[in-house]
Amino acid sequence: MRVLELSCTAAAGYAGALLAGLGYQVDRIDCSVGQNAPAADDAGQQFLHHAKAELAAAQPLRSTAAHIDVSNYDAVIEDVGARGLQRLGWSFRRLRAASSALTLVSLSPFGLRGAYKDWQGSDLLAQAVGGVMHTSGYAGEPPMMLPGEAAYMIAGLHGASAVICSGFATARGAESGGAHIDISAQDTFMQHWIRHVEEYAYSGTRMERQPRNPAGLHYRHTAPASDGWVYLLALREPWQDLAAFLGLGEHLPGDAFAPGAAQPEWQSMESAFHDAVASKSKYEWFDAAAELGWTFAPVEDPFAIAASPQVVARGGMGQTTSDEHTAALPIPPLPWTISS
Amino acid sequence: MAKTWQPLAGIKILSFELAFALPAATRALHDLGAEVVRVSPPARQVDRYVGYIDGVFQGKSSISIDLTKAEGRALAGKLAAKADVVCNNFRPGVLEKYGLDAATLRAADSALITLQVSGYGTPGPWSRYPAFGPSTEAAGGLNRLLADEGEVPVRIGSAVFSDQLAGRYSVLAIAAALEERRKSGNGAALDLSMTACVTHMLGQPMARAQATGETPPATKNRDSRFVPQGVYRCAGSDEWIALSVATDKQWQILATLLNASELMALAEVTLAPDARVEQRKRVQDSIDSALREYCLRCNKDELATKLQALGVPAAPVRTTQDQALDPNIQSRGALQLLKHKTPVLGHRAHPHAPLPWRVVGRSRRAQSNYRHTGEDNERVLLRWLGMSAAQCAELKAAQVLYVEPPLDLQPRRKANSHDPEHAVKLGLPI
Repeated sequence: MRVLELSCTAAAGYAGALLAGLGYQVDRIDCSVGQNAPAADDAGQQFLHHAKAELAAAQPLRSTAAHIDVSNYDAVIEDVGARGLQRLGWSFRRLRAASSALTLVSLSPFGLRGAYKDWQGSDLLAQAVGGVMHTSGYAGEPPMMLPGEAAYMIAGLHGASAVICSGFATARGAESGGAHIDISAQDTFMQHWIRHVEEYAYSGTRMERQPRNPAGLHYRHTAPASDGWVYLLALREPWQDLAAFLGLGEHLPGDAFAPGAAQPEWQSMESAFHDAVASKSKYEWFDAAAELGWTFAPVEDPFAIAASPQVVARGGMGQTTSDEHTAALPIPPLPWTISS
Repeated sequence: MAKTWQPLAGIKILSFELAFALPAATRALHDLGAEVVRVSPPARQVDRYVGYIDGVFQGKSSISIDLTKAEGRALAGKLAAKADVVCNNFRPGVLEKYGLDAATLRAADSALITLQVSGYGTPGPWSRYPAFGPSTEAAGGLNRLLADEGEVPVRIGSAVFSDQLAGRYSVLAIAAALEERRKSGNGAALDLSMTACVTHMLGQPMARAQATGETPPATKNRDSRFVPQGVYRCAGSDEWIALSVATDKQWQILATLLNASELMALAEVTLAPDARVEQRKRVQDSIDSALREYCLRCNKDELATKLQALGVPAAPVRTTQDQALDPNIQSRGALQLLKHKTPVLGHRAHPHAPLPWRVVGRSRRAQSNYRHTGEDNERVLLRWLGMSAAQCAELKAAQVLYVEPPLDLQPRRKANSHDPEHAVKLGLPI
């Protein structure tokens, strides 16, 4: 299956990267222009585009498009928007005339149809209207966007699935005329906080950002272990069990472990809590908590993640292809393994 | 009514599933046309609540089999033999105990596709460690990327972000395996790590970290290509607007609107394009300060609409209260009212999210209600195995099959954040 990618953001770029990672032949036309074009030597761009054929630096776009034979492709995935397609002189109808079973996947911040179809977007704006942000960060401070162009990447993930599903249907004869699939980063990102949306719809519960320094011993702490951060997630466990597990017993009053006893003032425990957590490594806490069925987690540093024992056991990192301009770079492999 | 688009029509999926991640995947596969049967273990109240409220159990048939009984395991094996895909998100090793693991099932049918979803994946020292979605966000590198060196890593405020993400990668993995099977005739055993999904989604900063040998600094709503870019408080309680200035023209319009003479002077300077972005970066704190002052007086929706009309990219930051009221979400049908068989918490319908793809000229598969545990025992056994009602009754009498009553849903509200007007605001039918 051959896929043509017209990308100016990470959305179509990531869709193409996933398809290339799955063995599809992906030909890319780089449509990013001007001040907003990512730096050519950015390692993030290497992650997105290393396994593709670069057709041309697309300037001017229209003349590049004129030389593309769409009939060579089973799918086109694009994030240049309705205006971008117009500039190319392309439309779904025209593309399908060249390739009758073609799948066109259009990725955009807000979709090709809808109240915001003419709005200009960015990853931040798609995250803003798609949710998650408002409950991320700290109370009293600005909501926080997720890193790594998360909204565009997730839209791209959907785009890759759409290409394969549509091709699968065509190959089985379930569909014959191709499909034009319009995916909005707002729509796809919203699904990632759907519980909060539904909780409000069903019960009127408003979700809010939490204070930066919440008092009390509870399951939400992230604290420094001896070699890095550990996330002490022990959902629904009584605070006394967590205190005992951390070795705080001697710092608590004698009646603290009586049934239903309230927590002592956080100030009286805070220092002992931090000393206790710092007494072991993040992996030691993680291992010990898992034995109890608790869901602690090491807070992994992106640079160090390649050395995580779990990543190593599952085959380690992948690698970009190298050429005369760029050296091979370790990158995350696809998140599933396949055995036949 | 336009024809529905169901590319996976005819595909049978048997899913041993709990909680959210895999149910989110199989819900999407149902929306794509697959026939999904959920094998429900004795339901924990929390799982039923999740399935109901989040909608991740919608559309699937529910069959309840006691897998601790030999007859139950045999019955599950017969169902698996009829499936194209068997998936589970029980802790790795659990289905092995029941003889329903990938190796056993695939030894009988090499065309079968199996999927195991877990927090950390197999193999590996953490493969049997329990995890919730937020654990995998921390282990996958997300929390650390939201903070600078020395700052406390930040948890994102979703509860299901990583679960939903793993669900979406699972859809891709299964779709790719189905396509491969179509060509080769061979199935596959897939093993998906939720943590690895987080890491892959963060592929760009991960690659930068590998290239430089250090974790990239937290961007904190900024982007070096868009200046200014940020989130600014508006009028109202905890209301915000997001703004990304991409071009010099947009900056000139914004500077004029801000009416800050120093910033306007910046907008008039003629420099090479790269230098102009760099120039704005140097004074971004001043720009942010002027924007904070300006936005504080404005309604977020009105200001976003005004800025977009002027050609400046801006958007309101949606809250849990107004997400369903967003005009674009409404006009695209990204949330649709689902009518219940009987009222739930006093209302006949609530908004739920269908498949978030709009296939031009086609309609989405209709959403359907949550099926309670064991509700489809007889229908599934008849349809998949041709079993008679009498045979089903025997299995029920032997307690191989069981049925649990529909969930008596109670709100899990926090008293201090409850909005008693929510139903009126959302227009929920009584």
